Amino acid sequence: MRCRQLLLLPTLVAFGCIKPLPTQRLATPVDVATLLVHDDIYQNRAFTATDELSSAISEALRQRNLVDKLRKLDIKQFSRLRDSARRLKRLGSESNAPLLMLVESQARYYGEIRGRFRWNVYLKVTLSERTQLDSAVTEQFEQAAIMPFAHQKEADAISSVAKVMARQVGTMIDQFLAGRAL
Amino acid sequence: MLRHRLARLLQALALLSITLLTIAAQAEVKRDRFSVGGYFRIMARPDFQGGESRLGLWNLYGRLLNEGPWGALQMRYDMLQPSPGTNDVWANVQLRIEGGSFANAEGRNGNLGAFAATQLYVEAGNILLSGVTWRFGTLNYEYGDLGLYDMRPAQLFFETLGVSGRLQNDNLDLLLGFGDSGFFVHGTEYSTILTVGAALRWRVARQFELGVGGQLLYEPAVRGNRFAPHVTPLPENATYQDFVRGEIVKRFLELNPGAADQFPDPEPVAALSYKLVAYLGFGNLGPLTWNNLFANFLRRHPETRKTEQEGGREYTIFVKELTDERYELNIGNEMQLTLIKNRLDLAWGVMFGYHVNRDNEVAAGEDNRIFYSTVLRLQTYLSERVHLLAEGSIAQERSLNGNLWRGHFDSVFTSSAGRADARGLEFGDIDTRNTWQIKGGVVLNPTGVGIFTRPSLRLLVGVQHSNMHNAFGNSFVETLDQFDAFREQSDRHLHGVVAIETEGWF
Repeated sequence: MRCRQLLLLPTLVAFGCIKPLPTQRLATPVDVATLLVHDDIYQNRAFTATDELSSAISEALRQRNLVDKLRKLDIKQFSRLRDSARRLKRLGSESNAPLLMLVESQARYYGEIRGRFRWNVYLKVTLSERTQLDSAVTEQFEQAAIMPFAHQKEADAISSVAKVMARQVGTMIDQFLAGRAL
Repeated sequence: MLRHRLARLLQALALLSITLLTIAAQAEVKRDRFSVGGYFRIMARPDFQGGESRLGLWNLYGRLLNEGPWGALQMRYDMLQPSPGTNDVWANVQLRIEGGSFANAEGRNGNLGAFAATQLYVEAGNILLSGVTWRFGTLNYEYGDLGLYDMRPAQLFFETLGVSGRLQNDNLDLLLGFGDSGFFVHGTEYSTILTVGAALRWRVARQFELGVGGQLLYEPAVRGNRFAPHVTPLPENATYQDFVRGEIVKRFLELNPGAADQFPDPEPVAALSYKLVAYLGFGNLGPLTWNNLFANFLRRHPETRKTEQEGGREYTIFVKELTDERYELNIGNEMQLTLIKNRLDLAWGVMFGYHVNRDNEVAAGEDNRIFYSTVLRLQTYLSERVHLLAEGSIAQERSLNGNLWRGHFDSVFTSSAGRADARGLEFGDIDTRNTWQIKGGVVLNPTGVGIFTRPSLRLLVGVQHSNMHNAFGNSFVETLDQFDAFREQSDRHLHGVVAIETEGWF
């Protein structure tokens, strides 16, 4: 009996006693046109977001029964077009999805701290119904990315915190969808 | 007419500036001007063998369980935020405060006197040269870190305050620096130490990069400055042995009886030291995440002076010539491997050091030694946030000038051939210290898998074996009467601690 209890203990520790609550899903799938843009902090350049961030956000959408209609837009045009409202408008003009989501990221090097290389990663998320761009909801998130190696730059920093930030985006989506009839 | 045109021009400029302001206000992500980052580690390590809560003497055996508490707070304030698409000047100021005392974690119980402002600098860009970041203030530059050891062999300008310019692009990182290291080296007995150096890092490919760098410290001779480097002419019969024992004045008075007032005056002389560093990094190759190889070769900066008491008088000996041939070679390698993705990671480190003092061929000390060490850490993930950690290390330290450590509880009375060296050129009865450690336990990582993912909450057990008696921090006996009262009766080569600790960067 004592032996069994000893075996049970690491199992409980390993898998935890807290069962995660299921994510609230929409009853029927809803399309959302998403655009992820990474902006250079020093120059007027924009890039496509990292694969890790894209897939983490796609997963957050999928869990909520939102169908990710990722837009493959020419990223160069967003180098010149830097304000969120106009980017969202552009996204809305190129999609029929009822929901729009614009995710803009930036990463900025902070400094060396005790052998690690710290970056600040910023996400600005704008959510809107395509027909009501004026009532878009915007939220901004900031996360420290602690990188073990000096050669790791913006993309690695964003990738390293992609899951954590996607969870924050998920919470924002839940709040946005709450009470809306879609 | 002219007034009318001028009015229209001003009107247009005003409109343009309003438009620009509007664009700026609608820009993408808004960043706070002030941000804060840092590091912490704090632990409770009950030690049932009377030690000071550390498994071993230093982090050559791996930093885990061998380091005390530490905290660092780094603050940045953007005085001028970067504006994308412009070449406007940007600037920020950074301040770091760090130290090693927290309530209930060590003897000073969180006394703020254990903390210091270790870095303060301003960084600015788009001044004079495009793409160059200027730094004014403390200049510390690191190629990277040996995480298992908490050592940074390839580090430059740690002691320097000055100005540096850093050119960076995707493949190249070039830094040139210039400043003064006098306060770090000499403290309140300040004397200017001009410091100049450079660091180059070249990313040859995604899988490979290398770097070289160096710094030179020059302390000029200044007649009249008692803190500047000087040389005291030594009496002909004085040896390094006399310097170690504090008997140079005694030798002088043997040659010159009754000439206590004629002890030679020091002559000003310049002092020089340097450090060369090299770095080789490769990775992103199959299971190899990354491998860092760091090396340094340095000549330590000479000391300034020491005092001797003789015949009730105090004499100052200026020792530049007796301390200017201390060299160190340190090489460290650390690789990280993903053995089974999201299941098992490995980190393996190797460290080698060769320190030699060519002035000193008689006294045992840490200035003449060779050490080797290897540390292996495995971390397996039971779930995303619950991990198991196991680490082992083996190290050997060898004194090049005779016995340096005590192998037995009664070896305070012995040195070579079982006889005590009461006049102090040796210490104890062994010249080689062999140490191994094994550590293991449960790790809770709120942010997921990864051998260096933090924060970590750790429950660990560690065991050490050393051929040195009491090879861990302790304060068992400090005086002879304490020795009588608290006499040990057997050797203690095994040592163990349990630990509850947390560590993280933020």
